[in-house]
Amino acid sequence: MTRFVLLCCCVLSTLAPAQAGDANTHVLAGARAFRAGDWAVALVEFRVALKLGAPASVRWYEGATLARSGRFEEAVGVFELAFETAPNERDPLLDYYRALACFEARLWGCVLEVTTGLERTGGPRIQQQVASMAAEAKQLLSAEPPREAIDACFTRASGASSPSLSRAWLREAARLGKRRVDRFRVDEAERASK
Amino acid sequence: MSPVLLLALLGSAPCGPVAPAEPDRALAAVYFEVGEAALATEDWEAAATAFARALAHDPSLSRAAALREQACLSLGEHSFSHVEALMDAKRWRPALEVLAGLTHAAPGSRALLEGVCHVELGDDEAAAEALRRALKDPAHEADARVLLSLLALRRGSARAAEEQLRTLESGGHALGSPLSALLRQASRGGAFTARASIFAGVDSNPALAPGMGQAQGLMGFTTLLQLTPLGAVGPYARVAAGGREYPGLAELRTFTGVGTLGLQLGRGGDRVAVDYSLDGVLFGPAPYAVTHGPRLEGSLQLGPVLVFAEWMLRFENFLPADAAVFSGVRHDAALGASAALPRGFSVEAAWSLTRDDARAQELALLEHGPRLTVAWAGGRTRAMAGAGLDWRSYDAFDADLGVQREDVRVHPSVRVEVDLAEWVSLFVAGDASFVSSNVEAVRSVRIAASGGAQLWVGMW
Repeated sequence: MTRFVLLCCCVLSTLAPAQAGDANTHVLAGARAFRAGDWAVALVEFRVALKLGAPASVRWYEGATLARSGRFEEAVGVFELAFETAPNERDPLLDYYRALACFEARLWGCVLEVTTGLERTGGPRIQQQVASMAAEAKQLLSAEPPREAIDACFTRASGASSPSLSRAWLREAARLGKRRVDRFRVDEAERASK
Repeated sequence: MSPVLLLALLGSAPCGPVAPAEPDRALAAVYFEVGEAALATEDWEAAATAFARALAHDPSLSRAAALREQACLSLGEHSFSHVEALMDAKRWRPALEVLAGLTHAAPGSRALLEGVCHVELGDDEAAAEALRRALKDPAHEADARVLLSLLALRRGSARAAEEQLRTLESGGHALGSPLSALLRQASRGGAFTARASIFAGVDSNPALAPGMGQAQGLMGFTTLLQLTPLGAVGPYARVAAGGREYPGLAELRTFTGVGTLGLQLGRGGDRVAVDYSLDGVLFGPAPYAVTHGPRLEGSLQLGPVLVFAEWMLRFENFLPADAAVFSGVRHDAALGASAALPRGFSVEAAWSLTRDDARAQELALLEHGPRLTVAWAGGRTRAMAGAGLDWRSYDAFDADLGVQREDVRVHPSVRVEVDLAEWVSLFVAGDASFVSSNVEAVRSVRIAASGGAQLWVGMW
């Protein structure tokens, strides 16, 4: 978790001086609460920091906090937003939390995509969990996904609690569609997710 | 932000007292906004946290106070309803894990639920520790004391149980008669208990003479000493003795004595006990029979129904020469179920089976039949009514009787007990037997009624 605080400090260095007095403090407070396992405080502080002008990369920490507190589907939505707005401001640990959120929310295509290249990073426990998640996702996607699974992704997208979560489900539909010979609803999913 | 404020921020429970922070209305508004967003996604803990922070920076934000209260209420209900669901499913360990994470919950409620889970898991030390914490909350003191008293009873410490219950009783708590009943149980229980009764009555046909027989007065006594050094679960020893005399029929005077050593595993409905007894009977002035053997009994709670079974083996040795033919091996078994009914009633049904391999084949028999008992307990009074029906068939032709004997016996009974004090009860009882047989000489009717007093003493 020290790495998490260090990452937060990197974020602080990117803040403009005028924002530092407000957002910096809350990013740091969020990181410390995260390290202490106080997810509610961490979440609130990261969100306050974002509202005070912290960079979009803080979304990654918000997503990680949601994943750690077991709010996996919300985490998927927040990670989607983080990926869209700050795709390069992440590290393997944050990708691990994203993979975990996708795994628990049953977005198997997302799990495969995020865990690719992750299996050799992190500590032994994380490596083991990543390998286990990837293996399960590979097994479930070893056959051509049924159309019903893709339709279900569209249904989940239309009922999602946030636009970013909706886009995450649509991207999942596109991932699954691409694994079919007929590319079922791929174009529709890609159009809708933009 | 100062380190002190940061510590307050990180350490404060979202539903606890709000630690004041540097006044900042703008920041309070941001926290409020975050809280509203969390509320919309039903993230009660984050919402309560955000509203608490908003109030810390701007105590005049009455809307934040109201929404925090709402979030805290939902948080408590949500968390405890989850725990409740786990406890309903008897998933005690997962419930404890969830409780461990409920740092925002009321400490008394949390401690009480932890105590219940530990009680169910049989982790008495942890249960007692949690329940002692729950005692500090006036709203849960009564529940905690009752559970502590049950724990004490379970560990065989009747005095400690009594102490907890007396504290409650002296406080005039509304638990009422269940508490009094438990108190009586506590005062009568313990690692060493003694029970004695004396009774007198009338027996319409003590000798089971054909027909109605001749009524006789009767009187008698029973005593029981029991040692359970480790409480209900563990080894036990019992010594029981009893006597019955018909003043008009000295030859029917009977004395019995029984010594038992046993071991019980499990508690409550899920239990098994095994013991070995040695019995002696004096009939009239002379030793009449010596029997000994093991007994195995157990029960299993299946939802509202308690299923029980018992098997007893006795090696019987009848001492007088004319009774020696009755000697042999006897098996008694029963399988049944009982259930509590509303308003203090309970019902028990069983089927009993006896196999007596007497030395003389014409005296060996198989007997079986149903039993039904309805009991009621309310306040200081207990009542029971039951009946049994036995079909008895003998193994071989009896040359003396000129027939292979077959009997049918119906035996109803009733008993009412009233507790006069914690250590003494009065009782009246009645029982009867109606025997029909293919042998006219053993057809009989017997009705007996008696009343008496029973003394209970529990120590430690």
